[in-house]
Amino acid sequence: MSEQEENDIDLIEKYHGGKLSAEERRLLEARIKSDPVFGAMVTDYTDIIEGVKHERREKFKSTVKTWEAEILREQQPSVFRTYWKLAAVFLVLALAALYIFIPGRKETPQELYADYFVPYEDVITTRDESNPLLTESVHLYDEKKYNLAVESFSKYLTSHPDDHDARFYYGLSLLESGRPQESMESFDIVIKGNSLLAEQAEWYRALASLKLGDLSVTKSLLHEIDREGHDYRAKAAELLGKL
Amino acid sequence: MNKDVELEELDRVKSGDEGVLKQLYKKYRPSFMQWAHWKYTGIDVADIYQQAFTIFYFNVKDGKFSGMSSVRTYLFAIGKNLLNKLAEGTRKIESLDDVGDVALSSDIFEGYEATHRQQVVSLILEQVGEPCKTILTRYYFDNYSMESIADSMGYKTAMVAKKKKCECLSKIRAVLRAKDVQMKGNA
Repeated sequence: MSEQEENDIDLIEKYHGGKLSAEERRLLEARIKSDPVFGAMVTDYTDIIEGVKHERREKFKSTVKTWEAEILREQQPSVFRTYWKLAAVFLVLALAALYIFIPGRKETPQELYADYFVPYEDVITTRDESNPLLTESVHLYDEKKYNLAVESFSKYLTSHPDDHDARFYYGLSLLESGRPQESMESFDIVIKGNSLLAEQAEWYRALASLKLGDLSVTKSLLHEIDREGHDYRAKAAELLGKL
Repeated sequence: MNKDVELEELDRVKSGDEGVLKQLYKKYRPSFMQWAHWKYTGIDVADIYQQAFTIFYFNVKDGKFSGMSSVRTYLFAIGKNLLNKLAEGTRKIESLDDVGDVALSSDIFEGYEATHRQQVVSLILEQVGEPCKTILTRYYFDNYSMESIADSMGYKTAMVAKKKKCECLSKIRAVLRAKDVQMKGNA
């Protein structure tokens, strides 16, 4: 190999490694353009340098895979335990399914609640975007982050106790965060406040009572709904038939 | 972790110390898996961790990471970017602001995808065998100096080792060009 070629390799290595000054780099790039033989040399040696690195990278990837396999082997006993746990869960679910689908069996209040409860859609977001706390509360409700929504609505209602629409969503958030008793109290206020969402509040109050498992109160609340012109009359009648 | 200890570890990573690399891999894996599982479902996070760790290693070798942030933060930031990239086309994900912010250059993932020609080179490297494979790997991947290559491989001087390296490059280039011609003929 000629001395010139060795020097060119040195130059290409520096170019590839970003070790040339701006001026050296400019000169080299000009030479690549004007001298195709040198240009081909740059391409070839750059590919060779990267190819050498590629070979080692692939080797390292394989090494990492062996570490991963080793970790999984070490964890295997616990994996087996997990399989047993999964098998046990499967068995319980299978038995539960068998129980649920026994013909003629009455659904439990909680099952009925799950069948009938549908989160009420957000109809107030666009109403008042000037209040960031209300917007944030409804956003949390929309995102199904009910616990956070409860906290946020609660703060908002402290300064806006007469906003019955917001209180309705507060009630829904309470209901979905496992506080049906408190949600009923909230719905009571909405109903008495003659809000536009009063009929909805009546329906969800009945569902809250159902969630609590208090069948006599639930029936009585559903009978109240079962009246001419009520939005939830049909649903109330249907649910009454199942209790 | 003590910054000095971490920098010492990084030096050993840079020199390719497999013991330290394995130790780090095992050290950060549980917390990464826990974090990623919590944030993402339906993604093979173990595979992502392997990729992230591999990139971490290459970046350390290439001098792209010198320990300005902690290893954990840097590694998790790489993983976060890989996960985001993967999740981009599939679903909307939550914000991951809980991972410490690390200024990752846009080329963090670039440069590690080999072209077909570079893959051919790695095959040729196997064909030409020793001592070319060791000389070139130590020089280009492990960043050894020619002096240390000469010492470790029994060459009289760095100059002799460098001459041998150039001969190896020239040999590989000749095979590569021949394969180019062969490929064009087949096309």
